[in-house]
Amino acid sequence: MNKVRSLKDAVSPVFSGASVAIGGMLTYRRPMILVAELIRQRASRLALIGWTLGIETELLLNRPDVVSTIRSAYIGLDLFGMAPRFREMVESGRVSVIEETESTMGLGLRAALQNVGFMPARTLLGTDLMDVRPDIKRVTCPYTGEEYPAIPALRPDVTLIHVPICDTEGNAVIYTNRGVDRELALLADYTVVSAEEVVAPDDPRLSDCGIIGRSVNAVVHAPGGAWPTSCYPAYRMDALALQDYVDAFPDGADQLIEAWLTRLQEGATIV
Amino acid sequence: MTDDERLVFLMAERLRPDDIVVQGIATPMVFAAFLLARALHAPSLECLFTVGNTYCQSPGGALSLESLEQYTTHESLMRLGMLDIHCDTVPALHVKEFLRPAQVDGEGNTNNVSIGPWHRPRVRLPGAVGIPDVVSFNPDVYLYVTRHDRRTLVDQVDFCSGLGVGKRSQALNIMGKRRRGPRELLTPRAVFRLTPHGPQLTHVAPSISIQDIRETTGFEFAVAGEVAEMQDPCVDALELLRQEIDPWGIRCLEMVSGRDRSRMIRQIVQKERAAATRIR
Repeated sequence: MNKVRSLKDAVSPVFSGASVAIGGMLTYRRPMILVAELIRQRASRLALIGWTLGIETELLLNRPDVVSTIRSAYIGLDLFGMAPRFREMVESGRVSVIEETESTMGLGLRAALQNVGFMPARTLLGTDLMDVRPDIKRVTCPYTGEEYPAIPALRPDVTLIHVPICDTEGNAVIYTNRGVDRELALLADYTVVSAEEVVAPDDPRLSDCGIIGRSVNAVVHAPGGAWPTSCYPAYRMDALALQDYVDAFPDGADQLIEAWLTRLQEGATIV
Repeated sequence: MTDDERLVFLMAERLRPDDIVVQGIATPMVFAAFLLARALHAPSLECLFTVGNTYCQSPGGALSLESLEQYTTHESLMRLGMLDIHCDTVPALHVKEFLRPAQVDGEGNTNNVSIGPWHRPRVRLPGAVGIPDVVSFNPDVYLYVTRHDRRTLVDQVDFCSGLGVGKRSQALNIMGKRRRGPRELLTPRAVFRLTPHGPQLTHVAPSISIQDIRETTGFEFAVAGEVAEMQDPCVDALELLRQEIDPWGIRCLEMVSGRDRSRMIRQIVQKERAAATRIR
């Protein structure tokens, strides 16, 4: 089935209040064009999910009411430092955080993939994380008698992913920095993949795919759609652009983000 | 010898030829230590990279800001996903990790979540990442901090996001009596051994006294029978780090913030892009 859609049509099913998982990792292969479209379509009260979250979250937080909660093990800009808008919003109590660790995130996804209520973990007990995650209960292992935190299943409503190559049916090549994109696509009710190149299903480059087409609902052709993060092997991260954002914050952030949104849209409309 | 170099050498000294190192987020010093140890005394070191999500057996090369992904991908033996890496491979494989908390106390408890109360933090930090997980099962973990001061080395962490080896960790030890948790805390001025009975100062940097350490450390500590002075590396090893492994000083990004970091990043990018143009 051909799933290629316009950017607008692909993003419009994202409803107010949806939990939205962001693909990629750190400053690598983030779905910037899809995030830009969420902003343009005035998405609201989104519950963001990401193994790590960063510059895309800064853009979403720049408009009031786009984001209600943030769920991740790391929210920051890697070597560019802390995420300044995220800091400001949390420190002033305007957005709430659901604390995750890499294990709790991974095991929550795994529980959802296996369609069970939880996965036991070897983490958290004794830390203050248990106090701020009252939803995490404890279980006793029926075999060893050990006590484990029971990490609840985690299933996003929507997943947004950017890839270098995707066929018209959604089978996508990721190459590197795979993150948990395959799992997020499998779990979400609605998954959008934007791609540097959209190819026919018989394209010889479609080997070792990282995303299963049957788990994808819409495909968008969006060259440059991960900028200023990288999209290996098409382009590297743009460290100067990322630093420009940090330097522009707070007074010049609006203007800079407007320019970025325009640039991302232009990339998507070239095709 | 600068603080960043001191830390890189402290980490490199702790690497053995059969080790597998995990490099986490925003820790180029660990990568520098990995490359340094490979060149000096541990040629068969292997590495799991968070950037790239890859397993690498024999990477050469130098540190890079914009091209790190290329490097960890091209040189990889295996490309994984984060669920594979963090939930399966790292717990099952015996790996060595160097973790950098924003705050650490004398028990080795760490904080990367909030300074001040969690509900209304004075400084919201990036998050716990994988530290709580790794210290829960791995006996081969080292903590390091880039500043030796009372803001970083505290009596009690504001929020415990990762367990050390003291009282708090008894909650975790319900899960059997396996050895786990951070072994040592490395700073540019000192090394502390972390034990269930409290921290013990084992090494100090040249020209630093035990009294200096007491004045700049927020937790109480015991002093080992013989506190050793950290050895300076030979000139050749230092030159290897400065000229070949990290010629652009990317490791120093862990030491700075604000305008200093901005200036440094812009200089690094300029040099990297110029070098990339020359090569191609």
